[in-house]
Amino acid sequence: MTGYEPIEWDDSFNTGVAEIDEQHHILVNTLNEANAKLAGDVSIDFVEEITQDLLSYALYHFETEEGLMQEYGYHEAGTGDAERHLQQHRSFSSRVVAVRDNLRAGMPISREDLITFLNNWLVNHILNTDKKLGAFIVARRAAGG
Amino acid sequence: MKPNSPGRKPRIDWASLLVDRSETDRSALQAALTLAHEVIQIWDASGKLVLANPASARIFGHVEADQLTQDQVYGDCLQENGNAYRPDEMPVARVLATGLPVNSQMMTICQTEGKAIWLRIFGNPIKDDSGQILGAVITATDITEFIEHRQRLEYLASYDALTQLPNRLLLAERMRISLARSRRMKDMVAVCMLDLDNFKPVNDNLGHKAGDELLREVAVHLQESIRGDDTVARIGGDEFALLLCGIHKVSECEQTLARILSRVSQPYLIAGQVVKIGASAGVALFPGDGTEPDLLLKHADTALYQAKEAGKNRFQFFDRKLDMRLQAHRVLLRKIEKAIRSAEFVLYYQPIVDCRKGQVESIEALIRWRHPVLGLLAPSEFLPLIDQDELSTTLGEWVLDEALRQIAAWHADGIALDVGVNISARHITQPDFTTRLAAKLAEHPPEISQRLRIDIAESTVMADINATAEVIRKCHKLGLRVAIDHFGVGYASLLHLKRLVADTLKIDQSFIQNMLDVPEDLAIVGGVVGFASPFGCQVVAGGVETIEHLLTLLELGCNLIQGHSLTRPMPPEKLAAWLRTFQPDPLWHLSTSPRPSRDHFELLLAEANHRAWVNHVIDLCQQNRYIDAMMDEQQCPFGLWLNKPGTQHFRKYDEFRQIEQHHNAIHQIASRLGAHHRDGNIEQARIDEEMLLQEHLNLLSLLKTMRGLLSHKPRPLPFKASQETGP
Repeated sequence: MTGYEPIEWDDSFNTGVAEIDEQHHILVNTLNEANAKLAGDVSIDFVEEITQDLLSYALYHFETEEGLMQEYGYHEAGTGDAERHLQQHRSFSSRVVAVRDNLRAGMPISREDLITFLNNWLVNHILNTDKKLGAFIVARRAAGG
Repeated sequence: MKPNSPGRKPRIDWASLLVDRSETDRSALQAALTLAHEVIQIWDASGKLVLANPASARIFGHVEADQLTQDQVYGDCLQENGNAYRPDEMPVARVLATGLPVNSQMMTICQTEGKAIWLRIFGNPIKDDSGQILGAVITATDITEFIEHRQRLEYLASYDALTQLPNRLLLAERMRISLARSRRMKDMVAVCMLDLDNFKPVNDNLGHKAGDELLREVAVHLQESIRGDDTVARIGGDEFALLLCGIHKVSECEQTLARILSRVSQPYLIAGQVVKIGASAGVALFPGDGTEPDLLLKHADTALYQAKEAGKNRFQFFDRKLDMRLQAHRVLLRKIEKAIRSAEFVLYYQPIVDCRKGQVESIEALIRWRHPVLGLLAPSEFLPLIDQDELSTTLGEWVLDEALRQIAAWHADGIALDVGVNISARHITQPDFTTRLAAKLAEHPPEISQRLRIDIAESTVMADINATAEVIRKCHKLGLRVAIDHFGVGYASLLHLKRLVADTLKIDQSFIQNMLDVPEDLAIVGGVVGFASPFGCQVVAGGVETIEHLLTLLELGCNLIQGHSLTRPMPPEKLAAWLRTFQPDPLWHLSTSPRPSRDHFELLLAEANHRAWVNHVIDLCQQNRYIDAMMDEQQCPFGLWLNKPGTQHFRKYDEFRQIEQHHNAIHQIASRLGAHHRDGNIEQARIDEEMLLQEHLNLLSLLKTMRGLLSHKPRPLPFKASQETGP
């Protein structure tokens, strides 16, 4: 597992939708920061702080994305992409909270799991799920003039 | 109008003004001029002073008015901006040259000892009927007192009285100038907010006078550690702002700040005592972090906050990404605040069922957020965001009100069940928690109010055990039951349990969910069930997701069950319908023991061990990491159990010997499975895996039969038994 490698932003992360990309930058930045902080020997307070930061920004970001989905009629496209997308959003916080609770209960092995899970989640989510949404929005915006 | 002949100098018979009058007239005019505090001068057209009153002589220091020139009278005067007058700029010359009045011109006369007299000058031409300029009247008022007062006010408005440093107002002005200059020079300005660390204790311990003295000393140190172009201002309490100008590289700024912080943290001698104090600073750079003064100050303040958070005695540069995150967080908090007001939060309810009695025992209220964009959100998505914030108390109060309202509504419909509400750590530690709770309860009759159950997480309890024990005691006094939630993960010891006298322990879901695969978790669940009853506690198992989990819990003697295997949380109207149609599941009778014996529990534990081992082996095989050492059927946890002396009394059962054979077979299949994966023989591996699982099920079924044999005579079940359950 390469749980402690920071995520390096590359152009393949760009969805083509400026507001989403800007927020992704911040999410990646948050994760890398969490990554760096957790690499050391850290207290549960730190983990609480990091998970709160992450959950908070994630919720903010999900609202942006899901607002755009509604604005551009992503659900009406009927591909099932919207439903899968929402499913990934909804499961995110419960996973983070579950890992945090494990950490609270003194299971330090989960720290690496947390980072690995977060990195994988974010990278996969951006590369697959969000890019689909991005392409959809870009096409709609182009069609709308 | 009489036209003047050109070239003829206009003349005025000045003497007649004063002489050709009656004695009375002249005396009257003289008296008026003498009395006037204002300077009054009359000049002729050639620029000679012909008449001046005593006030003029006093201020301009001339003796006789006769024939003085403006240079002689106004020679020591300066313009308002401090420049000397050119002869044609002087009021007399201007009036004579233009024929226009001079209104309210300011002028100073510098006297010896640096004292200045300020004058406000008016001038008017004297013209004859044809408009010919005959001369000029000049008046001057001494406004020195007014100007000095105004300067004093300006100083007071721009400087801090305690430290004599510029204040916020002057800082703003200096910033405006610095930023403009930096724009021209294309360099940077660092805007820093600096705050003393732990200033309050100095104030508290040594008194306010000493505190003020320290602030003055700090101000001197700050002033000494900056360059002439830079500004240090005091903007309140122990807060200072610095403007560092002409910066070309961030590293220059870092060096300066390091120097300033080290200078400030040198010891001070205050009121006969050595005082040490540190400082933290936040920095925003113009133009990178903002171009508007207000924004730069705000960003510097944000960075200061981060420096404090990071452990004080340091400086921190403004971090835009971090700031955007903090802003997002603030936006979310405001939305949650609004959501409480606009009733976007709802309570869902999940029954807790006594599966041995086949009755619904109580209900847990669980909060949901009907988010206008995101839909129905689980608490894990929003509660962690507010657990450090006042909002968690506000939301908690709403939950209590809403739960009581719902209990009353159900009561009216004939549903009488206890409802548990989760109370957050922040909420329960409010000093007035129980007082407010009592007030809420008082709004309802006891048959409603006493249906409320307070659920407190074990981690909350342990954060302040004395305070929580007190809250629990008060809740009991109010007639409420109290449950400790998430029990087992919060480091509570048995000693604590004795003090807490909770009515219910809710075992943390993680143990329940893992207990079939992780033998230690099963042991913990069994342990909690075992020690709870002597303490007079009920035990509830939450997060029960499958019938298998449910039956195992019943076998362990844990009868109160909550989880998806029964039903998911639902809105109140659905719960009413669910309660009407609720039927105990006949499968619940399949559990073999109402209270496990030691042997019984040992068999359950052995089963969990085996289950865990099989899952592990399959995982390893699939990842091609199976090693032959695992083949040894004596070395796995289940094998060790089979062969240990304490287990040998089970040998009297045929089933036990069959179990041994199945166990050996399982190890042989596992070994083959590992080899097939290693050789890439996927088809064969798939067949082996199926065989392995089949053998595994056979073994589990034998274990279950044995457990049934051990509890010879199950106690009769209180609800009507279904057909397959024999007598």
